[in-house]
Amino acid sequence: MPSPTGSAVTDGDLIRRAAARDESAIGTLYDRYGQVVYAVAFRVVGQRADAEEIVMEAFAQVWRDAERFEVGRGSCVAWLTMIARSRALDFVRSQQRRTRITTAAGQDDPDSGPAMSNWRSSPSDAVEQSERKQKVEAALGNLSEPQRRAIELAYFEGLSQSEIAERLQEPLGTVKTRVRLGMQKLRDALRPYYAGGGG
Amino acid sequence: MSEPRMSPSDLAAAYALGALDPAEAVAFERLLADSAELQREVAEYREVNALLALGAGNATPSVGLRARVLQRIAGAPVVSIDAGRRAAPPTGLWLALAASLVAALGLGLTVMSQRRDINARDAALAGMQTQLVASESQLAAREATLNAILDPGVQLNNLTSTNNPEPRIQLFYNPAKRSAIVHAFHLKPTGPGRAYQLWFIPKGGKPIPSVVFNSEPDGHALVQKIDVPAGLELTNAAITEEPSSGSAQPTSAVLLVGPMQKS
Repeated sequence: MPSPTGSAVTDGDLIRRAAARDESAIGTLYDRYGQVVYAVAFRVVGQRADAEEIVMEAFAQVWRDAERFEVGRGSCVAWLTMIARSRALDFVRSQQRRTRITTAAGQDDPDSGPAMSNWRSSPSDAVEQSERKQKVEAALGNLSEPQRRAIELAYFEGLSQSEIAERLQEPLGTVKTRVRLGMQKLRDALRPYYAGGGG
Repeated sequence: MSEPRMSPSDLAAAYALGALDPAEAVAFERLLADSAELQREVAEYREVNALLALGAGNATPSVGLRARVLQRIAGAPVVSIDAGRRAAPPTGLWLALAASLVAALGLGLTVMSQRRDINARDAALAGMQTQLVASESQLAAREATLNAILDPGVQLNNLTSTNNPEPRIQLFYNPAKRSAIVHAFHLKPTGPGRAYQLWFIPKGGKPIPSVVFNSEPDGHALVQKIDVPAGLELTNAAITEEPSSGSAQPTSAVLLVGPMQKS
């Protein structure tokens, strides 16, 4: 996911400023990606307080490790969401709450306002984000249901392919093929929308 | 029925998703270290993962979360997560209002204030619960390490530097499980883009590349579940500094070396 093109300051600039101990850079990164990071954390852990704690820790890790981030080896948002997802999955594993998460997965936070409400992104950023979201939803919609299910179980519940096979009572080879083909389809469909994707 | 055979490239997506089984992931990482093409594929799938986050739903955080994030990075104590705004108190224009109305308003403000306190306490409690879970998880990991080290079959090999007494590495090697743990201390972190790499040196053979790691700012490093090559008589283990993606053969001088006990 490239940094919003409507913004003069790139994500790389913000990471460099964070590495130079400029706290406002983290504020701007939060404005750009805080909602996405929160959505991932919430989808995984299913509780507002837990998800917000994970968001705080994810940005704190970016603050601590900004100096080590190599701009060009991957996007900032990929790094941020990877940290948040990883922390959220660790949290859920430690709490052994996977069964509850499954039912929460498809639901919106009942306490939350409408999507993007009160969000600080600039209008152009918000429009871009919204368009990308539609593209992602369309790309997910073009997967077969078993492919989408396998990928979601891996991404949002942190299950390995063996665990997915066990959960779905499907042969492991079938699950591996679904993950591989599904991810390839997503990559082909979404390539124009992420950094270095040639779009 | 046998599984379809997959090429390393076919595994990149599952690896980026974290969906490979541990043994597969270790094997894939060995290939990944030497393949720019695989590294590019994994990086690309990680970008896809970031976009998948957009499909995570519309849940929206509290308005106060931004301020708490900034407080967290500034090291300041976390305070209220209040999402509402305090209503403006009545001004002199409202002095003519009946005393009962003022009392009712006062009561309302008190309730809001108490609710704010409760929210703050809930947030603090949630933070403590998260810390507790993290501590428990850390404790469990340490216990697992201790159990691995205390296994009766484990051999302790010391890797030392020839020209500097400071950095030192303990290599706990379990021949029965062909598994090792590296514990380093006084080992200065490498510069950007560089890392330490462990090598196993077989009798009469070339060094065999193993894990790539780095030390914490305090000079400590702990690397666990290191696979040790089977079917070879390993005479030494050594550490060199390499690019952070690792090398297929040493590209710099040996920093630490030590003999491995015969299994």
